[in-house]
Amino acid sequence: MIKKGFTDAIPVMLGYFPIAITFGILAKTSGVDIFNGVFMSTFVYAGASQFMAVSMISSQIGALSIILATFLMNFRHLVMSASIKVKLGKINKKYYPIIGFLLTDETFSVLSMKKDLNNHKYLLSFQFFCYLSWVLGTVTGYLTGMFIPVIIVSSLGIALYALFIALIIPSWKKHNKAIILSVSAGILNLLIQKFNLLNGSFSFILSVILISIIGAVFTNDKKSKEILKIKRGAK
Amino acid sequence: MNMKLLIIGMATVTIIPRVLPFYMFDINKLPKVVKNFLEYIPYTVLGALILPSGLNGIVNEPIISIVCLVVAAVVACFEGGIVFPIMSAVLTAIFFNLFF
Repeated sequence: MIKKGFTDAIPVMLGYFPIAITFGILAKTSGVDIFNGVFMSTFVYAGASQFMAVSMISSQIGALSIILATFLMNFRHLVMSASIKVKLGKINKKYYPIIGFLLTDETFSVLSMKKDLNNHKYLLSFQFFCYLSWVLGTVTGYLTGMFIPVIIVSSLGIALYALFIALIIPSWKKHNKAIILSVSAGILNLLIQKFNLLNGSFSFILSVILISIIGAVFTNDKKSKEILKIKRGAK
Repeated sequence: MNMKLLIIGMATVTIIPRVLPFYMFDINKLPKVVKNFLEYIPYTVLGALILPSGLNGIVNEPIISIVCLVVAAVVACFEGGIVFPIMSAVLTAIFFNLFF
């Protein structure tokens, strides 16, 4: 099961490593020393907000503003954690803090496309290897980043989005609901940001929650109507 | 700026939304409509992760990014799995970055 966790982690690791290297380089050039940079990757483990923090540090913005921005940016994980919890089945409660701490957009995406998550060894090893890639990538960025060709780093930027595509396509084949939900959330998020109505993280949360609610209400209505029909028929 | 305190603060506000939901509710007691809602989250999340950020996957190159993602989608359609779609997208990106 640990081996399966590793195999499933490879695509995420492949995506994380170059981003973490970029983070290491950027943090270094912003004057954050290697200890604090790696400390941040180890304890915050949230790509986008780490990049934001480093750029805010270099423009002399205060710690409280950075922490508030981080909170707003990572608030989205609330819905992801809630959604993963539903699938956890028999997994021992003592693992919840670790599972939650290691939950990112990418690990969530992979895990949520699994049918069930009953094995804590699989779940934890998968998440751990992704985490390891992020932390080691940061170290690598500090130490050797400059030597990695720009073309490779830039090209690997597409890897995580290709991962999301590879995760969503099989569910598209299975049911139309998945197509409607993902396409409408994506388009709504695109439009909100295109017209600058909300910033990225608010737009993301709004699109995900709104489309999921509409979907849930719609499905529920249909089903309860069917149940009503059956009841009427029975009478 | 005290970096240690900043990082501890950032870690705290990141961990709370990640961990709290695990303790917030009992799944068996949720109404059907909430269960459906949570069940749909993965699909809407994936959609909103791909659009619009994916268009900037290769920074400032939306056309190349789209081409790479279409390649990934086509490979995912026929091949399945995760590694092949990613590899073909990355190779396409390297190709375009080298020659254009």
